[in-house]
Parts: sequence; C-alpha cells; structure tokens
Amino acid sequence: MSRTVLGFDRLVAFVLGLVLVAAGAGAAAWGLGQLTRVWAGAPQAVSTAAAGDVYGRSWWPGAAAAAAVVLALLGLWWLFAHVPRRSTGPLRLTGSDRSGALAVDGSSAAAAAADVLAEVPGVRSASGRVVSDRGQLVAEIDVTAEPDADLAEVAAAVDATGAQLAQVIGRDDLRGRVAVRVARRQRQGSRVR
Amino acid sequence: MSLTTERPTSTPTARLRPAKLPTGPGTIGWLGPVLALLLVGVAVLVGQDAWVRLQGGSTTWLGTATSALDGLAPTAAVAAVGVVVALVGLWFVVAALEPRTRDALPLGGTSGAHLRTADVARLASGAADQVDGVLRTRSSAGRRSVTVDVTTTAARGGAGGGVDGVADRVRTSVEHALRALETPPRVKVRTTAPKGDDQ
Repeated sequence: MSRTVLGFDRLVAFVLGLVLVAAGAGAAAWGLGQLTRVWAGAPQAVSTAAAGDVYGRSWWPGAAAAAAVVLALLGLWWLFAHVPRRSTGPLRLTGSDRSGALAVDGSSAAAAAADVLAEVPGVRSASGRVVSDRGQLVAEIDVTAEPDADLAEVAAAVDATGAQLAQVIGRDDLRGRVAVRVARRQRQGSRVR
Repeated sequence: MSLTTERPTSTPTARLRPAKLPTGPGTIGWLGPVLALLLVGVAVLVGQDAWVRLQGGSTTWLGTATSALDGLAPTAAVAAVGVVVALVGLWFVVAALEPRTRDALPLGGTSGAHLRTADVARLASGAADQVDGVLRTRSSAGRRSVTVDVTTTAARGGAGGGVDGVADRVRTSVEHALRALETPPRVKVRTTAPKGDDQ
C-alpha cells in the first residue's frame, strides 16, 4: 500500500476521530443535562422533523441516488487503493542506446537467487522478486529457515548470493532486502537424533 | 544468467546494497480499509433509500433509523453512548497519529537481510530446544531483548548444575544462535519445573 493511501487513511481517521469526539462529548453532556451550560438553546428532545421533510421532497430520491453512486465509487477506489502494486517491468541495463535496448527480467534473476538460497543447509524454502518500494528498486527475497538453522551460515550465503545477483542484474540502483522467516516447527525428519 | 551454489572464492566486485528496513503501518494499516468499507456501507444505505423511494415506497433503512431517533430525550443511556462514541473517536485520533511499527532486526552483512522479532523468538526457542534437560520452550522477543521461558527436567542443585546449569546452557545456546544479528538482543532465561513436579 502506498504512502499516499496511508496518508489519506490517517487524515480521514484523524478528522473522523475529532468529529466523533466532539459528537460523543456533546451527546454525553446532553444526556447528563449539562449541555445547557455551554449552549442555552440545547433542545429537550431530538426532533427529526426536518430530515423527514427532506425525505419527502421530490428531488431527494435523485440526489440520494447520485450521492450513493459517488460514495460507492469513492469507497471502492479507496478500498482497492490498499492493494499493493509494486511490480516492475524489465530492467533497462547500462549500454542501452538508440541502436537497441538491453533489459533483464529482474524478478527472474531474484527468483534464481532465491533458488540458490533454498539449497543452503537450514533453509526450507525461498522466493524472490524485484519490486519498486518507497522509490527504491529492491530485490526482495523471502527465506524460510528451520528453527535450528545456523543464522551465521544463512547470513554468509545471503551476502554471497546478493553479490552474485548484483553482478547479474548490473544496476547500481538495485538494493536488496532479504526477509529471513523462521518456521514455527522443525520439519519432520530434518533433524538427526 | 547463471547463479551457482558455490561460494565465491574471492571478494565479489559487486555487492548488493541494503534497502531500507521494512516497517509496519500499525493500526491504521487495517483501520483504513475498514473505514473504506464503512463508506461503501453508507453508500448502500443511501442507495437503498433512493431505490425504494424511486419505486414509490417510503419505508427505508435510513427513514426507519431517523424515525427511531425522533423524540429521544436526554438520559444516562444517551450519555453512556456518547462516552463510547467519544472514546472510539479518541482511538481513531491516536491510530491516525501512531508512528509506524519497527520490528525488524538487521543481520550483520551487506545484503539487507533481516529478521522480525517473532522470528527471532522462534530461533531462540529452536536453539533452547536443543539443550539437554529442556522439555518445552516459549520465547518472546523485542528489538532489544529476548526472553526464553524454559520448562526443564533438571532438579534444583542436581547433576550438571541443575536448573541453573540448564539456564546457563540455554542462554549460551541462544546467544550463539543470535550472534549473526547486527545488534544481538539481550537474552533472559526463565526456568520452571513441569507441572505436578516438586523439584
């Protein structure tokens, strides 16, 4: 999910929160009969007559239908904006010019690096891809290790494989992020007793 | 493209520079989509009202809710609802201002490898499980320390240092397992005897 969407989420939550605090505090004060201290004209009971009048107007159904469509579109756009879109196309390599473009499929290279890491003792599985993240081109590799894996050995393998991946892709702006996850339980039969 | 499983025999000329450590969005990460769903819910409410009235009807969800509020007088129940609404609002404000969560610990090295605190706890349990005299383990980890709760079969003052000896061996084993982290967390070990055991 992008930073812009998260910022929008925060803004809406903040404004809605302030509105709810004000409305809740007002309702609480009114319920305890204290609202007249700050608002002398506070009503003695809720009246929804004005809303009833609006519902009866001829323009109301059309306006409500239009508002419903707008709100639904806005809500769906907002909802689906939370789905992350971080994929990158083929990566253009140095040496590309008018005579021809050199490109590499970064995700295939990262997947191959993950396959290499999956062979390291103590590593159960690994997967890799190249994504665009917070303005960086990132080779993201997820490694799942056994609970008794030798972390130093995994770290050394990650460094060596990362260096190879950097050489293969050959882009100075490529960064690496390897998430080492640890399996909840030891895989049956993977440990000699 | 070829990647081999062999370790490079010399220092590689290229190196993969680490990306920024991942951070979590915190509460707003799920509250945002929930608010978006609520907006869709409001659209459904208004849309149902429009649909029914365009069909010539007059009994709608919105109309029924509005009528239910008509004539409401101030009571303690209204005040209680108001307090709940205000607290929910306050929680929204706190969630909106909450900083992003940081639970990743970098591994020493150059390629931007990291573990989350939950994985550090699992690794600690995995290391503690391999120590003689350990029956069960449960671990929890933060970015600065990891706590390992060990249920041991050793007796207090027994052979091999007893319970204290097991705790020491667990601490050593866990520290060894976590040594590859850039800043290894402090290891705390708590030992208990199995339930129903007088040891």
